[in-house]
Order: sequence, then C-alpha cells, then structure tokens
Amino acid sequence: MILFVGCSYTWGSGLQYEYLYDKGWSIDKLSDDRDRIIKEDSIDPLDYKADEYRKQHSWPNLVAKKLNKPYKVGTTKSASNLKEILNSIKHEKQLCYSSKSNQIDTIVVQFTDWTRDNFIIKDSIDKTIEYHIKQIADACDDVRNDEFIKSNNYKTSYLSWVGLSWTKDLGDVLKNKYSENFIPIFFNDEEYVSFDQFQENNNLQLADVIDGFNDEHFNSKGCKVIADSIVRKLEQ
Amino acid sequence: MILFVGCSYTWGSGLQYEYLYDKGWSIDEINKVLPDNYHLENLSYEADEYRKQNNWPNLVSKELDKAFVIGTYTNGGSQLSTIKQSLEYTKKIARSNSITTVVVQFSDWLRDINDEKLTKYPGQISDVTTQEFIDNTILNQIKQVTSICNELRTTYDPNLKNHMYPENPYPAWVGLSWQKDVGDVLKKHYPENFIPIYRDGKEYTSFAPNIDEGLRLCDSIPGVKDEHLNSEGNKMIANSIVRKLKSYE
Repeated sequence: MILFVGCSYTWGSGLQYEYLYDKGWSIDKLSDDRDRIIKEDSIDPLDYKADEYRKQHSWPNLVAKKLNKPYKVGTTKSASNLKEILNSIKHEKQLCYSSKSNQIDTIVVQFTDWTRDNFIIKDSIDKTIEYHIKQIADACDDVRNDEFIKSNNYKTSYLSWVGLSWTKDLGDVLKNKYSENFIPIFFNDEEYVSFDQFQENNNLQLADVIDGFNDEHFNSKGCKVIADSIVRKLEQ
Repeated sequence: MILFVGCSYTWGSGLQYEYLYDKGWSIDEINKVLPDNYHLENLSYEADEYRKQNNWPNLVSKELDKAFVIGTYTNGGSQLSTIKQSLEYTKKIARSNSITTVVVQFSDWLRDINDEKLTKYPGQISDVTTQEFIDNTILNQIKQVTSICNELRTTYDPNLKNHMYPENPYPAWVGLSWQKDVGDVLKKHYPENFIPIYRDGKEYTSFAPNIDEGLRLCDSIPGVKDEHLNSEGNKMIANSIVRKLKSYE
C-alpha cells in the first residue's frame, strides 16, 4: 500500500469544480463555493459524485492505479502545513501498532510551502527547510524501522519515503540533501525541482480550463503530470 | 462530509475476496491471503477499489449524496487503540469544520482489556467477572470515544471564521455496534445516537452474533474462512445507518 501525505494538492482540492462546471454550474456559483471554503464559515456541502470525481483524478489515485497498488491519503481534509503533514505520518505509526494489517510500501510526501508554519531557525531559510524535511524524513524512517512494525511487515523494494515539492526553495534543499528520495518533476521533457516552476500558463490549473474561475490548484491534466513523475520515480 | 471510524468492518475487510473469487481465484488461493498470514494491502489496486466501492461508508455516502472519509483508514483496530486515536488526530492533521457527523462503529470491548483471563476466556465472560464491570468498562470506552466527537463541535477552532462550529441537523456522532454487549450499553445510555440494525423487519442492537448469518463472506463463498460481512451484509449496515441519519433531516 502506498501512503500519500501532503496539502491541498495531494488532496486534489478544486478538482470537483471540473465536474460541477461540466454539470452546468456558473462561474459565479463556483466562485461562491470557493469563497465559502476560504472563509471557513460553513461545513463542506460537497456532494458524493463531485467528491468522487476529485478522488478519481487526484494524483494518489492515478499513481496507485498505474502501479497496481492499494493506496490511501493520510488526512481527512484538504489543507495542511508541514507540521500537520508530520502529524499525519506519526498517526500512521500509531495505526501500524493498532492494526493487524497496515502495511506501507512507501510514503509519498508532497512538501507544502514552509512559510505556512510561521517558524524560522536563526533567520535561515535553508536551515528552516532542512529542519522541516528532516522531521518528516525521520518520521517516515521511524515507521519503516520500528522493530514491532518491521517484524509484522512484508518486504518492499521501495524507500521508506519519496518526496516532491510545491515550492522551489524547498525543492532545491530536497534535491541536494535527500537526492535518493527526491522526486524530479517532468513536464514537456524538462526536469524541475518543484511544480511552482511550471504550474502557471501551461493549462495545468483549474483557472486555465474554467475561464474566469480563480483557482490556482491543478486541474486533472496537472495532476496527471505529477502522477507521471511519481510513477517514474517509483518505477526506478 | 461524513467521517466514518471503526475497525475492520468499517474498512470493509475481506470484500476483496468477492472480487478475487469472481476473477477465478480458488477457495484455497483465497484462504492463503487471509490476515494474519497475509497483508490485504499487498493485493491489487482493483481488488482494493472493489473493497472501497462496497464497504458501508461508501454506500451510505452515495445514498445520502455526501462526501465522506474513513478516519480509521486502516484495517482493524479497537475503541481505544485506533478509533480514539484517529479522532484525536483529526484535529491535528486537518480542519474539523468540514465534518457533518461522525459514524462510529464500535468494536469488541475486550480488545482494549489487558487481562488474559478475560480476553481468552472461552465461555460466557460474565462467568468470570460481574455484569457491572462489563457495563462500566464498555460505557467508559464509549465515553472516551464520543467525548472527542463532541469536542470536534465545541472546542475553539482558530481555523473557523467565528471559531464556532456551523450548525447542521445531525448530532456530533451516531454509533452502531458489532457485539451485542456494547450495543445494549449504547442503546441504554445514548438512545439519541444509537443506530439500530434492521434485518428482515426486525431491530437489533448489534450485527453479531447470529444477526449477520447469511451475510458473511464465509456464507456467500463457502470454504472461505472469513466471517467479515460480504457486500450484502454491508448493505444491511448501510441501510440502517441511512435510516438513522435520515431521521434527523
């Protein structure tokens, strides 16, 4: 089983709007719904089919389908910072203890924007980023190397984790310090350390396929680009 | 969004065998991939998707036309080791304001008892302990789980615009039980939240023992040594949950 952790990009946030737009929702109605989520003042009224569309087109599902592996997304909601991503991995370790079968082939970590955590080490961006990545890398290794979990686990050829980045600053550190785990992102035969480098102006965002709709998350085509890069890494 | 938590029954453990049997696997082949000898997570994507499509969380959500997530996104567990922890982590890994209600499937209370004499006793457990102890222990476990569900609604949440949970017609949680002893306590102390199980026009406090006969994997695929619910069994539970949730609307 592949475990995916990350922020709204891993969740597939906004993909439901492709479905709803196709079902006739106006731009105003889509925008109202998006504003409602941002204001965070109401429960999520998303219907079943729209949410299933999101799940089907998010990159965790695309990767798992391609590799013919079960998968799960280690969160119950869209948005996260790096601490919440770390917590979701720690929670996974607890689940490994309490479940008879909770076997993880690898953890695919999508690192989010480090500035969301409002935390900086000695005024150094690189050190702060290194700290965050190390925390998450250690937590993944901890799941893999724990004696109890290991004794109940099956063997897998994958690393304990692989990671990709939304932002270039974090992607650069990831590539330099954790080259084995780093997932390069390929788009139009070019290699990138993060997806913010090509995200805009390439018809990969929701705003590109729903004219007038202001959502910068990936559309289904964008999710496929990320999925292909993860598959390429894991197939190594 | 509906949040489902529970043990292997909520996860839909064993539903994969229906898919594999349909694909031509023999009984012997299926019995070789039963937990604990094999990890169900090692099966294929398609087999796992079949599980996800036919477990009751998906059936309930489809019927009510609501998004859902399974908080205990792993196979197995217990009240205190899995369900409670998953609920506690809900606030640590995600915003909670998207959760309409929590559907709790209570597991066997003995899984959280560190007493071999009790947990391994082969006969009537009330022969070796008092009914009062059993009821109090079960009630304590239920309280530990449900207090966190209630907290999702009432605690200060800086992510919310007004730091208050939005109103919706459902209670913070509704619960059903695998075993009769837990179901009886649940019905007695939390009648508003308790989900009765309906089968053939009759109402039950749990789906085992006996109530699920004919609706288990071992019933529909004779020879398979797995007593988890088959897809028809999952429908029975889904219908009971839907009936309960619709009563609030």
